Amino acid sequence: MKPGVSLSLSLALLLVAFQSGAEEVVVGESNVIGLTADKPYLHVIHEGRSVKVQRVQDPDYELKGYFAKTARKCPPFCIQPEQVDPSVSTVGEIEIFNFMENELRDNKGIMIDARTPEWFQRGTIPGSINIPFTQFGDGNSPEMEKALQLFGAKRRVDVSAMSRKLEEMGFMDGERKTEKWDFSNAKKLVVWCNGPACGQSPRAIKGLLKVGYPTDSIFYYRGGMQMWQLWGLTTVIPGE
Amino acid sequence: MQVRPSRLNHVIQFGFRCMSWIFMSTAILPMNVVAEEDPYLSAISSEASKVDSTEQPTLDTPDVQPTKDDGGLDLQAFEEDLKASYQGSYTFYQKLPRRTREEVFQVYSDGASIDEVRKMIMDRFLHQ
Repeated sequence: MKPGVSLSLSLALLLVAFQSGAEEVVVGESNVIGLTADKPYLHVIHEGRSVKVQRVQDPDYELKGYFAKTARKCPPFCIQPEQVDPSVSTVGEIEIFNFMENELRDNKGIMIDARTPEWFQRGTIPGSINIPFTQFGDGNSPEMEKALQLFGAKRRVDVSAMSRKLEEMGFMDGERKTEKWDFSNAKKLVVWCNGPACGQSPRAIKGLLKVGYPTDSIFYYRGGMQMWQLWGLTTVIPGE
Repeated sequence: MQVRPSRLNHVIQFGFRCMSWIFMSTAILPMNVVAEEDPYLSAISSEASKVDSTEQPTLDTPDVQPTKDDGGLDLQAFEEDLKASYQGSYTFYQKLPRRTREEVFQVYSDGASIDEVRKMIMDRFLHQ
């Protein structure tokens, strides 16, 4: 490219960038209750449809119904620890928004509603699929096998004890691999359930850890449906 | 040596008792394992019946828009999304001719990642 053309192009880009700054919408100065200071809403694909995720715009709205309750019988519905496991990250709503716009959109991640189907049918977070925690209980069950394949894991066959030993010692590529599974292309998973007093997603995560799913690809959304609704965020009824 | 009938009956009865004990043990053992999980599952099920889905905050007004699969176009949602999340790319996108913008949207609708779409926008902008 000639220097003159390059200079004109750079100037054009600078001009456009300047114009973009002038057009920027400042959410904080409008009446919009955004997801974040600079993100009024986002779109996520749910069951093949684009769903707009936003917050309730009525500042006087108060949460009603089941998720407005402060207490449930404990046990079994006791407050869960912040972390399911020291190696698994716990995430909040902002991370969920980013996950929806990046990993989910690019098919590199999955949001798992780990509750039993009767909960899922009563409303879920857009973009989530239902894989009940009960399916993560047995590492050798066909349900677990199917789920892991959906997550991008590949079943390993005929791995000799010698190969495995060499992998463990670092002489062969054994990263993100177990004796039974190759997690090299494993997707990132956000696992959630009803909220801080729900044990369903922690159980699902423990099941994943048991089969050796990479800990850096599992994220626990502890807030779950309760916090999602507390912020007045969009929910969807599956099949509608 | 002859075995008296009453003694033979005792032996047979004992054999049946042993067999039934073994059968009951093997049948009941897995049930105990399941029973450990059952109270939790029943409690979860009982709680679920208390949820009224119509009480969810934004359920009644979800902005569900048709996608290409439904025979409709979602161009507006795509442009709003791009504007909200990638202001720079959106600015370049706006400078593109209508047909090129449609081409970009088509690629997006076909499942291209947002990074690919943004790269395409820059590419088209620089080579128009």
